[in-house]
Amino acid sequence: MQSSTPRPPAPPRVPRTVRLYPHQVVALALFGLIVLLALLGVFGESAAMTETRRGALAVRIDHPARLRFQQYAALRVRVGNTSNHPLDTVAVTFDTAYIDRFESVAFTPSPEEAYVVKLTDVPPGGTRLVDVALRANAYGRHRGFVSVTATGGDSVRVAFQTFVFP
Amino acid sequence: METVVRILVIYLLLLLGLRAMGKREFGQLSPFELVTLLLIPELIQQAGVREDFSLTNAVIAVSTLFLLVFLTSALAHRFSGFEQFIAGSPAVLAHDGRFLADSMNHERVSAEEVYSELRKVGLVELKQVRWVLLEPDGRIAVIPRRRSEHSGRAPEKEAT
Repeated sequence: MQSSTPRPPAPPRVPRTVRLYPHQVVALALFGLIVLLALLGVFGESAAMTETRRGALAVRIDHPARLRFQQYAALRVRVGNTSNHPLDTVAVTFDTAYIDRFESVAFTPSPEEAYVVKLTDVPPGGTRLVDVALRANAYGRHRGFVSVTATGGDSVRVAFQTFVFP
Repeated sequence: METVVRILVIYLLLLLGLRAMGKREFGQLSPFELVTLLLIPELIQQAGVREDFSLTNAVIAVSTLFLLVFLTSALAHRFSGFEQFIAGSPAVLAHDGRFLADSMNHERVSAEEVYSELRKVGLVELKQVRWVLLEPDGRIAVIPRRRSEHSGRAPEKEAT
């Protein structure tokens, strides 16, 4: 618009400052805290790793540490044979209570019975993987374990936990 | 973190988009414009929350939105320049019985619309008017001349 355009009278100047009522301060602090924590990744997905060795078995578990409700996650069990002889059968047993907290659970390889995956012929120095795809179906802290038992008698139990945000 | 960034981008996009549309769009929407605006939530809903329909994500998104709205409001109140950038300033459509064609064309307001607003306040001619302003909220404000002003003078010739 041109500068010659007539303008209606302007209002008198009043000093402009931002004043807040106490309840607004509380609400803004809360919103600010939520946004800050979100920016820091507190509410985001995260994974954790737990590793244990016993006898011929070296077991590493990559599990979801935090995820949100209805989100997908992956649980991976890596079983290694640290002995000089092959392991004929290694049974990987997943905690039923933990797995039942999730839906759309898919095991690779498939379990022979409820939540027990059997790995065969693990060569010396070799590793085998068990992948489990999960979808969080219940919120809260879920504690679980994976138990790995080799034919020779070695057995490893690894506990872990996953927190599911609502 | 991604939700905060997504909401921030959408907020800035809406802020700029609505600002660019002009003041008139807020005050008087045609059915087509109304339907078009109603499409916006549908289009941005997926972009805002992706496939994450958790309560946590909703809390983060709403908190981010409230914070942005408050920050915008506080900055606009504190700094008049920012307020003008966000809300704009009133546009003068007519003054002392004359249309300001350049301003009307910028704001996409027709003479018929101005006359329609005059009739709503009991006026029938432009010469009865001291100011016609398009306010930042999209409404048209009509300030009539004092009775002595327009009865004592010869009628002024109107612009288009």
